[in-house]
Amino acid sequence: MKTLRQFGIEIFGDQVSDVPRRVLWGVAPTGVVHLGYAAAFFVLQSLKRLGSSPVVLLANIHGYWDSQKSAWGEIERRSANYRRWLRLAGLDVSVETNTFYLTAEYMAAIYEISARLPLRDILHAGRTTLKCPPGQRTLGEALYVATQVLDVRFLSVDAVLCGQDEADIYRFGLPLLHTEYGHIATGLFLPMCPGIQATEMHSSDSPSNKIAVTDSPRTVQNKVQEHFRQSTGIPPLAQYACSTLFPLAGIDGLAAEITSALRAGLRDAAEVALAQGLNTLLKPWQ
Amino acid sequence: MVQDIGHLTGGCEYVPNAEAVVSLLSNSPGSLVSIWGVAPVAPLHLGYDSLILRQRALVEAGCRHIVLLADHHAMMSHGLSFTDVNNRALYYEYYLRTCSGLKAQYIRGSSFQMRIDYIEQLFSLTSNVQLSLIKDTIPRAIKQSGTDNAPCVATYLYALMQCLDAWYLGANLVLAEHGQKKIYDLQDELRPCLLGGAGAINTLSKIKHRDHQQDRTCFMYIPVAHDIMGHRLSESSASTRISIHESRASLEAKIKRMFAPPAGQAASADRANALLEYFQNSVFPWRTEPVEIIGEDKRTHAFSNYGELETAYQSGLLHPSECKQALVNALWHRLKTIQDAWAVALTRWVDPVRATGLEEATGA
Repeated sequence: MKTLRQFGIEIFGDQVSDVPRRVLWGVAPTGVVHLGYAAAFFVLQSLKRLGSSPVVLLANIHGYWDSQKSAWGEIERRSANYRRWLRLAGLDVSVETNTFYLTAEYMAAIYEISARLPLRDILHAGRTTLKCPPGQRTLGEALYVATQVLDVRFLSVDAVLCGQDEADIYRFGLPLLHTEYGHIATGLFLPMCPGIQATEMHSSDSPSNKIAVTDSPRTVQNKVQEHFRQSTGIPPLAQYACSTLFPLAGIDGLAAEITSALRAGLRDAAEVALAQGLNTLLKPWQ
Repeated sequence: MVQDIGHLTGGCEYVPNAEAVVSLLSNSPGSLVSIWGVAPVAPLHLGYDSLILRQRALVEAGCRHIVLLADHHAMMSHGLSFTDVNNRALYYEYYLRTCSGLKAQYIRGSSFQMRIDYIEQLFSLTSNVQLSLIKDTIPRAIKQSGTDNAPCVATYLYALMQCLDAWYLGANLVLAEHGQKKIYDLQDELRPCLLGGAGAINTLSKIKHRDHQQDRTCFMYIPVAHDIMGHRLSESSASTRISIHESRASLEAKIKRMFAPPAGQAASADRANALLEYFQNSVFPWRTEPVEIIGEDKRTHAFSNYGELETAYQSGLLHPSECKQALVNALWHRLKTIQDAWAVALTRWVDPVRATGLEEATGA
């Protein structure tokens, strides 16, 4: 796991072993699968080759708790899309929250852990992921965060993979699991994928800020062009692709090519190379 | 028909209003489903008597009454194991059903709070109610519990579950102590969400949610009871309550300290005459024989009901010290009966001859 640091991945907490036996990655079907998930795909594929078992959790109930308040029917439709898209990434959904969140066993675990979680701390830990402003938060949002912590223990994983936007949840939760339950797990925190216009890319963003896996090659090219147009210096998406995404995908040569072009002031060449590289990665979905 | 509404409802606070509750009780008690919830945490004491008496009156009036033993709440609020709570729930049920004669349907929270349709409704509520609304319902003492005075997630979940439980079990009248009012006031906020989900089948579980009567739930808040010092029970401790486990010596000691201003000396606005209150709630409703007290006239007076005693007390005929002695005798008789029945109840099924092998030894 230590080698993951070279890709900008933070390793948090105690490690049971160098290669985790089971690593959890959760995704809520709130929008579309986008480029920001790609780094997670490559990490999971790498760990799988080393003998780890990825536990891909489709957090469909979280999609409901999210303040966007998706209806149950809409959740099922999105879940079907996510299953298909993840399969194309070589990852099968291991478990879906609707299959076990409504069981007596899980509810007993929620009732039990809820007595150990100060509300103030759990909301603070989830502040970068919760949609509602602090004064309008619901208990559902607190449960959203609490179950992310609980799932690490309930699903018996010894590592959890997520973006830096969710890292604080596990910085709070993993030590608590160790103290209260003796459950040891490592946090693997991925750097965030920059958005086309905004600082970060999220599935709930408008289409203009994200590169969806289903975007056509032309659309990807246009979005990269827009990103370069809006950026000064080294475009954040290019920086991210060169330091994290392309090396994880095993296309280091392209990363070097883009870096060289940018250093030489050849932004057009860098832009073209980046778009080509991204389209290569997105080919299975396109 | 309920013959004596006043006895049942006197002194209570009602939601939405007294007329709605009295109408329910007067006109169709048979269709009324009432509920009282209690978390089986602490050893029982006589402070529960006024609540128990009201519930007995509801049952006698023809209501279907539910006692909800909130075992999950006990686990969540006190960190008890399921085994601990199970033992305490058994203890509470035995006391209420057998020692107190409360003929109700006893339901454990754990028997339905794990059901899929309950969980779905609870999840739905958690997404529709702001934390700020729930926070206002939490008693001050609980707000200050938890790490660094920060309430836990369980405290907020507890409040929603308390409202959902009454709805889920189909109760149209909730009986509660006044301190619970803030929590139950939440039900008005939750009602659109609960009604919206009623009968719904468009759920992940594909189970149809319960579809109860659409009438608004009524609430009856019982007047605050007091401890031996005349202070509100919510401010009491074990040393100022009369436990059902008192020995005669400890009972005498507590009653000796009991706040009992003599006639002509009014109790303060925030302090009740504990002596009279214990006669009213913990003696007369639990016995048929009269209470005998030596009066200031040196004669023994027999009182058949509380009203007679109170009149005599306020007239100066009875002195607190003689009343206290009578209270000791009356309460000890009651507590001893409970304590003896307790031991018998646990071992009634045991045949001591067979259990000790005496049968074999004697060749019987």
